Amino acid sequence: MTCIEIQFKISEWIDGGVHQSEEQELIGHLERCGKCSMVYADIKAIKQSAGSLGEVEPDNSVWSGIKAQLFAEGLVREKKRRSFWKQVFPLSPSVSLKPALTGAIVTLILIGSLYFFVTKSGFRENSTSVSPEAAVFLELKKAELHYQQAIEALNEVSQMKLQSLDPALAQILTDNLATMDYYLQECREAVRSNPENPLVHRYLLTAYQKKVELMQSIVNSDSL
Amino acid sequence: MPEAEAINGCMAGDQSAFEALYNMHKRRVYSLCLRMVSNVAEAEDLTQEAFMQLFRKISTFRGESAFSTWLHRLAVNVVLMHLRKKGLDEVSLDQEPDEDSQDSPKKEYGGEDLNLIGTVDRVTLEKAMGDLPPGYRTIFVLHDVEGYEHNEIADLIGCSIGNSKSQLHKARLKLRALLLKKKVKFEKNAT
Repeated sequence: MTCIEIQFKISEWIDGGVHQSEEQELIGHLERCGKCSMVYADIKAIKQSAGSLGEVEPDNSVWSGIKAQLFAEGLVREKKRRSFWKQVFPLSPSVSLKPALTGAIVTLILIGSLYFFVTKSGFRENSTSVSPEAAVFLELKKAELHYQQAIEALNEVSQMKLQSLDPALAQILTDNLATMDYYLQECREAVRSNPENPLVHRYLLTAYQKKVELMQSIVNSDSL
Repeated sequence: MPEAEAINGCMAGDQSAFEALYNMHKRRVYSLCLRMVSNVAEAEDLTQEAFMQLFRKISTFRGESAFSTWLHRLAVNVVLMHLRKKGLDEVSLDQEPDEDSQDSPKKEYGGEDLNLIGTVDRVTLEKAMGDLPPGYRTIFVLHDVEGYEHNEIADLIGCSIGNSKSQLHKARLKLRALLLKKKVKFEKNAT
């Protein structure tokens, strides 16, 4: 074999693709030919070095570009936040159970709110560091939070229910909800302006209560 | 997020799952693109295209091979398609290492025998790979850097196994010539 043929075989040999008989011939040639011997050493070194090249980190702009293209093509949605139902009930109760559970939750919240107000005076007596006005305000905030949680819990189900109702009825209920939101907003403003006035506090909680009741009746719309 | 979970999420169109997959595989895909085209801007565009294809085609991933293998092959195809569009055939069968060209150290330096003394600096190798003709570079990167077998390369490129072997050998000789040239140049500057 000529040196050129041998060198081609060298490449194959390094890759483990020559027969044993050829291997002996190659070894013999390399012992005699310094030039082919150097080619062998170099190709081996090149292959070894190429196989150990590290990975390169792309610029952050690559991901930005991908994200922009995904949105431009409408291919992705943001990961949906788990709904209140999924958080509270990871095993997801059937849809038919949701109204009953909603009722239970709302009842608990109402009882809790009532309890806060009934025990308000006791709280005031036991409290040494909080003024009576501040204590009332705290209780109000707690009750408000409970109502807000109830509204959030009911929101998804009631929206679903509205879609399944007669459009005219659904529109009336939607308008009523909007009116209540407006009323709630007014009451919140009133509380902000008159934080010491117990009457405006009562109005605000009544507004929340009415909204929860309406949402509850939407969820149990069979009884409407 | 584990890879299997990210794959399922990505199949469902979840962006955060896709981002997790991107972070797991971005380096390998980008390195492949960069070495095959030897141009940062083009490599970034190709990486983007490869991941876009991943997102579009992930529903066709059946788990018959490892996900990284599937993605890598997809990225290779994106690059090869790009090279075809640019009119740079992966391998020109007529491409021979030109012994008389300036890349040949033998002619340029008075027939003196040179070698790399058994070691090749990685940075120099990366640079020399960038100087290879695209056809040789493709075969060399796929075989010696990425570890593809000749039958896989033949399948990807659409040539015979013998042709793949022959082109690889020529690519290695050309690369050796380029490295020797760089070595001589470096030694000349040093003295």
